[in-house]
Amino acid sequence: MIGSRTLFSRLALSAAFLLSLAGCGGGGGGEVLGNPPPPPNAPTALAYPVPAPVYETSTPVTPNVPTHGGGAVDSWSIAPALPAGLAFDTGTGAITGSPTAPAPSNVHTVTATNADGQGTVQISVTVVLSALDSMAAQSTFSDDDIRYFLGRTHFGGKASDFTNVKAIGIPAYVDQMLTFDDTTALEQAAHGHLLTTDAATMVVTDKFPSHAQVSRYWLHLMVNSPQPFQEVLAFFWHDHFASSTAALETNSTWWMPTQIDLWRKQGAGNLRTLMLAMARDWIMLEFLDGVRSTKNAPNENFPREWFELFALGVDNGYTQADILQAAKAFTGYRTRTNAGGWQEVTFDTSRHDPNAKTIFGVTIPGQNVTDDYAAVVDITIDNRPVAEFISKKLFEHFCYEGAGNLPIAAMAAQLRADGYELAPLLKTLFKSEAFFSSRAKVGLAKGPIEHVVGFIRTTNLAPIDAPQATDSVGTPVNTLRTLDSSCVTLAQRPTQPPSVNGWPVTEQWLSAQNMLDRANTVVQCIRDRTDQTNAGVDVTTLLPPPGQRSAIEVVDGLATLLRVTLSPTERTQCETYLNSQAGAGGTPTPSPFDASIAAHVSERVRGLLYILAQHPTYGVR
Amino acid sequence: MNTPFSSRTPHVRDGRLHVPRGSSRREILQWALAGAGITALGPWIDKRLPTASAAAQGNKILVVINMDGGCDTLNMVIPITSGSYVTRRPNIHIPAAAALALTDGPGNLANGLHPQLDQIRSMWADGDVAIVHKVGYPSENLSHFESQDIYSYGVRGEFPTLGIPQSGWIARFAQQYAPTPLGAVSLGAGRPTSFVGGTSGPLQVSSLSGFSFANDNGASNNHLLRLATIKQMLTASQATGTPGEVKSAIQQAHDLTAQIQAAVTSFAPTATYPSRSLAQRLRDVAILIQGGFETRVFYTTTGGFDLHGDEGGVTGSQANLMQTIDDAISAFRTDMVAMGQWDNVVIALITEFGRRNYENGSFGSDHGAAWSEMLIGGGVNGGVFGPTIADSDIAAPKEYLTYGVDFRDVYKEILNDHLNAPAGPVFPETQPTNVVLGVC
Repeated sequence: MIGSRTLFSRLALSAAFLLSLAGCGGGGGGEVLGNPPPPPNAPTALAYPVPAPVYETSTPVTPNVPTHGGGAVDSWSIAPALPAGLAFDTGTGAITGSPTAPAPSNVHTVTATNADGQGTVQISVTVVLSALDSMAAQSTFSDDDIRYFLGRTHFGGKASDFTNVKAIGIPAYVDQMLTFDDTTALEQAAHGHLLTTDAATMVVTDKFPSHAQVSRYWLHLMVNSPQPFQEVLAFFWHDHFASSTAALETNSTWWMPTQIDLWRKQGAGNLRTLMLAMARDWIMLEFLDGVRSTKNAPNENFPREWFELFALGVDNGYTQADILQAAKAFTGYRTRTNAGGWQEVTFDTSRHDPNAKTIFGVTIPGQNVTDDYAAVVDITIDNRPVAEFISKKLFEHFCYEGAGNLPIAAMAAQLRADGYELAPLLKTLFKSEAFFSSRAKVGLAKGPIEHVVGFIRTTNLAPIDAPQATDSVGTPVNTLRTLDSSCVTLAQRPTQPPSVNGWPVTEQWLSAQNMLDRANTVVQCIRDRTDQTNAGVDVTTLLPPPGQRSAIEVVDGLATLLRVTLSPTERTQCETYLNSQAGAGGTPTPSPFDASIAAHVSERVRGLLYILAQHPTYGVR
Repeated sequence: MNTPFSSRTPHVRDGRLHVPRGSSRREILQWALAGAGITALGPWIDKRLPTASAAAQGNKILVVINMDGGCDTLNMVIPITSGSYVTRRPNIHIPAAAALALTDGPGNLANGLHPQLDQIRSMWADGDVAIVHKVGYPSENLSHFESQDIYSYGVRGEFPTLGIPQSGWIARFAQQYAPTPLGAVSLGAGRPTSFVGGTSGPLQVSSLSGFSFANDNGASNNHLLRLATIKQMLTASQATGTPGEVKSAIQQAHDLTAQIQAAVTSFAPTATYPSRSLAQRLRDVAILIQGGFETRVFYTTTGGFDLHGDEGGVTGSQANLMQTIDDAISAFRTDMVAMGQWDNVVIALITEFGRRNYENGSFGSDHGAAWSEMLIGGGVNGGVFGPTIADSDIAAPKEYLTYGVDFRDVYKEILNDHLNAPAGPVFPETQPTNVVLGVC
């Protein structure tokens, strides 16, 4: 009989069936259809395993796959649409993806359809800002957070840095950290590397410093500064606005200390001021041909890198026409030899293009009194996403790579609101949930400078080079020649990035070669060339307090100091090392570690530092 | 005019290489992996270990010696029949009578060698020297850095258009055909651009004896125990992610240093190598060859060729440079012959440009363009190849020789015919000259 029955909709049939049941014998107005129709098989009992999910931005969701009863489902649909970044599978009803923006709690109706009918279920979806996207301030900090923070901002940090941060807490410490104390005394000492004759004024007047001496000047600051974040940030800017002394004539190398101090003194100042000063920096003008750019032959090298590398990013909002106009604006500087025979840079109106230039639709009026550099900087900053570009550079260097739009947009908004002041932005950054997120703590590979300068600062052990007979009076006691030479070998000598690209993190840093060279630099730090019994630096100062100096306590203490995470096996292996005396060929015989025995401390503690510096987690900041 | 390029990939423009800033390490690695045809995710360092065997190489070897500064090859391979060579270089030419004749061996009447190249001249007589004239590239760049980049990267177009990541040609060779750290080795100071990029991390060491974990002389026994402890810990390590990559690199450093120092210790040379650094670097090459390592391409640099002043002729600066090269290669050849490896070797003497046809006011020569390349080794077909250098090429008003053979045509033949390594993946462009020389 089924086959002859007219086919109403499934719902109508089931309704009719129910009516026929209810109206047994004829009550009500429904048709009595005789034999019951086959049971309808519409989807029923739809359910999501997570019925009211709260998802986080930038976090792939665990697929939320619904179950149901009734017949097989032909298609699924959802209304309204899910928040951005989430995907809805019309074949399975599964919710997958990674949300890209927060969304308030919203009820969505999911419908499963087949030929027999439909089933629905409601699901309430909320998207909250993930910690890894959040520039909001972190509220609680662990000791581990402090060490991690120092790893990112202090080249690893000393034990005293940890104590100082813990005493006042990270937020207060960050506020202090972004205000730089005067470092004149330190700079005067560092100038001793440069053949200065006038330490008070730090004017280089004696002879031209060499490339090596200028590098050692900065290494001296990095190794000795009482506020290492200033150097960490300065090196970041040097890497971003990259220029190198490598191709410079000897008589212009003396300009480099000025550039170094630009990054140090302005690195947490105003971004607009910083970028203008960078564009006018003499080393930069020489390096990217600004001193060869004239009204008759405007040079495109600097303007191209200005847009492509320094301000906006490749192809990010500028055209060749803008480059050409900027090239005309970036004219007029040239070199000359002064009365003392030194090269210097001067602005020459006869070489400056006096005409109007138009960039991004904004016209710089023609004039021939000053340079046009400030105008180009302002037009770029005010008309293009420079704030986003610089924010992203900072975020990816200090937090994690592959930043999403959320934290960058928040940073850029703050930067603009603060008139491009960097200190408030950096305070926000270093207190943020994103900075302390598990994503950020996955770790970033240490570059060579971070590795070796970090080791020296944390342990106070540095390669010692006495001044040579030919060094000027006033050359510091440690000339840092070995450290500088190591930096050359490690392919990261300060003031000599390989190109205008700075030092891109490359496989080379994680090569066998570089790891060997790092180990060989560290061995220069731990070994004492005169005698091996604590001469030079008392490594006992690195140990835990007296009474807590068993082998395992020393292992734990030094691992914590160097931010090395040891597995239980590795921990035992280090303990065994400390409890061994090495014979010929390195053959160990048991010999309990005794911190009161000078030779134990001298050989084994230094050796343990060397071992820990080759631990995989030491290569990560 | 700028060719549009993808905004997030490295590119060459105006002969300069640009890697977009903000390229995360992951992106660079993904490009590298994509270039190697490996698309799997995961710790990239595992991909550096040889998986499938590379193309069969046999045991053929290329030794690239870079004459840094722009070698005046007109004063190395002398155009002895050119009158203009003499008249335009009154103070720095090598007289035909002083040049070493090349009439024996493959025979050539138009060229002679600098008198300091007497041992190489003997190799010519054996048929082991090929000379290729007018090597260069179109639109010559007379800047050291720009031209060195071109020779090192080995491409003229845009990397993204070519579909390969930014890389030096030796890095690409190593990635494709010898993908272990010792597959290609650079010896000497500095980090050659030809080794940039790629995925196999070919070794760059200042010297083999320096490629070891430096000792702590005040505690050498304990230092050995430290190294042993580190190796134990690395073996036990379960590190993943970035620490895992660090671990693999450190472990590799320990493995490689042990292998190389064993080879250094057991090296038994037949030759006596001069103390000059080029000879010592070739000695290092001999150590690795005798040690049976998998290195297919060696690279080293010898400097001092940028002779803008006081170049000299039969004697002087250029002569000293020629002697250094001659003595070093001669010693190396002695060892290769003793090892039975000479026929497996091709040495290529390259430079970033030749020099002007004429001397300057300081008895030197300024930057030029095309130059003459010498290939030396048992694997070479002796003779003079490429377009001839006519007197009119040297005569006024010609400033310098212009190119007739693209430098990559020479490399391609070495790769295809000597190394049995099809050159396509290494030099993906078709060269303008596409000359077939027959040098190997």
